[in-house]
Amino acid sequence: MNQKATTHERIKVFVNGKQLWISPTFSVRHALLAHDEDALADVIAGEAYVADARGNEIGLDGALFDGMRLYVKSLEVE
Amino acid sequence: MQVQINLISLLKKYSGVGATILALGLTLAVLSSAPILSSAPPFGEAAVRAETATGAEEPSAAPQASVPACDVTLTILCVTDFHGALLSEDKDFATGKPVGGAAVVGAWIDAERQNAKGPVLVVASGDMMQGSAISNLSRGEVVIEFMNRLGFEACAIGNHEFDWGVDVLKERIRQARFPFLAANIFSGGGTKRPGGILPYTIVQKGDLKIGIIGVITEDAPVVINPRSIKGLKFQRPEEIVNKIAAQLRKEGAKVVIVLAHIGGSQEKNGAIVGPIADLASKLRGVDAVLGGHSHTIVSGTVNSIPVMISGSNGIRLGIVRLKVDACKGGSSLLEESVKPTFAEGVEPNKAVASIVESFRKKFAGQLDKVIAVASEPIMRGRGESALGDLICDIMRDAVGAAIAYENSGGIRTDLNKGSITGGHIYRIIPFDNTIVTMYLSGKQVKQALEQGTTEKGVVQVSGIRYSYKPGDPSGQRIKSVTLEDGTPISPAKLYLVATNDFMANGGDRFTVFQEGKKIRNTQILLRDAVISWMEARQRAGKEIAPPELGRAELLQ
Repeated sequence: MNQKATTHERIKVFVNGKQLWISPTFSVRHALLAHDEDALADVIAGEAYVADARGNEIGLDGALFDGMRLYVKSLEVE
Repeated sequence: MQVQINLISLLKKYSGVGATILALGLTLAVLSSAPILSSAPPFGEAAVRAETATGAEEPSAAPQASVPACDVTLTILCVTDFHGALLSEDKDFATGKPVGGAAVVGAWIDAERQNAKGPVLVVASGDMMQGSAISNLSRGEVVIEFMNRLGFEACAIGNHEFDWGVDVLKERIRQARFPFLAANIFSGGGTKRPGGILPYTIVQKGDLKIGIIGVITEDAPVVINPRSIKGLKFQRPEEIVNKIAAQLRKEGAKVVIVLAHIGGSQEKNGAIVGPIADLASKLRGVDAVLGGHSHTIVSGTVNSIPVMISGSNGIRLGIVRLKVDACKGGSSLLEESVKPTFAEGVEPNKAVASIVESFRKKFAGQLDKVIAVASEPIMRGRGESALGDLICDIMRDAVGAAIAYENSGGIRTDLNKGSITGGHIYRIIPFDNTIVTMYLSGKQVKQALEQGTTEKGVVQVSGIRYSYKPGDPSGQRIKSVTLEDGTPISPAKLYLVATNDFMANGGDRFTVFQEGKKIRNTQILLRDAVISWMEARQRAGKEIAPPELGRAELLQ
């Protein structure tokens, strides 16, 4: 964990437990896009949000780091 | 109104191992509207510290409460990753209530100042300007006005502070009545400071001297346009912070705060993880670390140091309250919280609202400003289109790529003959997509065309010509591909390709871009590239003409 992005072409990010390898130049938005385009659409539409393990929301333009865990949560379920 | 800036250490250089080479004592009194470092042009070699006697302007600060000489309650308020969210339409996810907006954030800061039982420090952890139409059109000027009005006392440099280039950042640094901090950015081969950006500042609150150190993620160069940071080096922050913290203690600082544009998040069990935790775990002599960059909410401790990240876009306000021994130094944590900035039940800060409204009116006009003239209509389409060709040509030109791709769905309307305004370009390219570069093999270049060719349309391109049969099975639709000069694409050769960040991450099923080499998000907004290109044509006295079609040949 926390290997330096500058030495890697890809960092490991988890979305709903699914492992993705993504360029460190991208953001939370792109991790969702790579995971599931529909999930991103739901977040943009305000029907879902991105959260950390504690349920706190994370902005779509937030930076990623190696080992970061993201969760897409439906507002209806909440 | 006047701000006292005590440039004690003019020309003091910090080598990265903490050596002090030269110190001059110099005190400047400058008007609040003057540059904070009037004698040191930003990005020249400069002073390393600004010392403020009263903090920055405190227009709405409550009178400081009377406290015992040695026992001080210090309240630190932190906004991070504001991203120009002056007119927030955000809602708190948990409650659905409106949150944020500059005037509401101002009200929350006002309220904290009114209620605090001791000095209040207002700081930011970077990425404050880029991200909204008003802020982007003013190149961040309105955000600095907002921060000046609320009396921010320091701001860490974030990666997005470089989005509009060094010259604009210099302007913003001059405009700000608070210092921009980044102790781990160096120029001159890694031994000098870029002027205007300071490593730290000292704020005096009554008898209490507070040291504030700024740092940025050392990975910043991968998320900043290289042209904006030419000649700058970003070093690991922890050793630098420890050296400066020790130095600040020697100079009498009883509290040392780190503003870190460095991200992290928090696990279910409360453990803080990520680069901000790595940093905090290695620090000594630091009383609090206020992070950013990841737009997360973090509130806890690492290495017995309070560590906080207060979300983004002004929808949260970070609060750290410390009990400080102002005589001997040392602090203990009284409160650490990241509060939603609910809009209901607060009286928005009128002065801030007025600033935002004046810029909103100003730039409503700018969207109508003519930036270029089209000699004839330039149409979009699902097949090859003149507007698609033009946008791809501009994208390619902006980053020096050999080939460019743009999804047809990303171009939302046509360009009419005659005057072109900024508003037109916003309507043509409404999405805030950035340009991404990568290397693709010739085989992958062809694969991208395959993925972009359906019976409904094709992907827009520049730099290549191809023929296709949309009715053929998927994977067999592209019949030939050459560079624009007719040279056949070599399957094994690598080509520098540009596309938008949506496609680069698999949008519209373009999976091939995720397999590229050296993928780099340039952070250049495609819309900005188009506007800049058209403005340059206008300055050269040239109209905008549609490119000649013929890049995608439909075979029957």
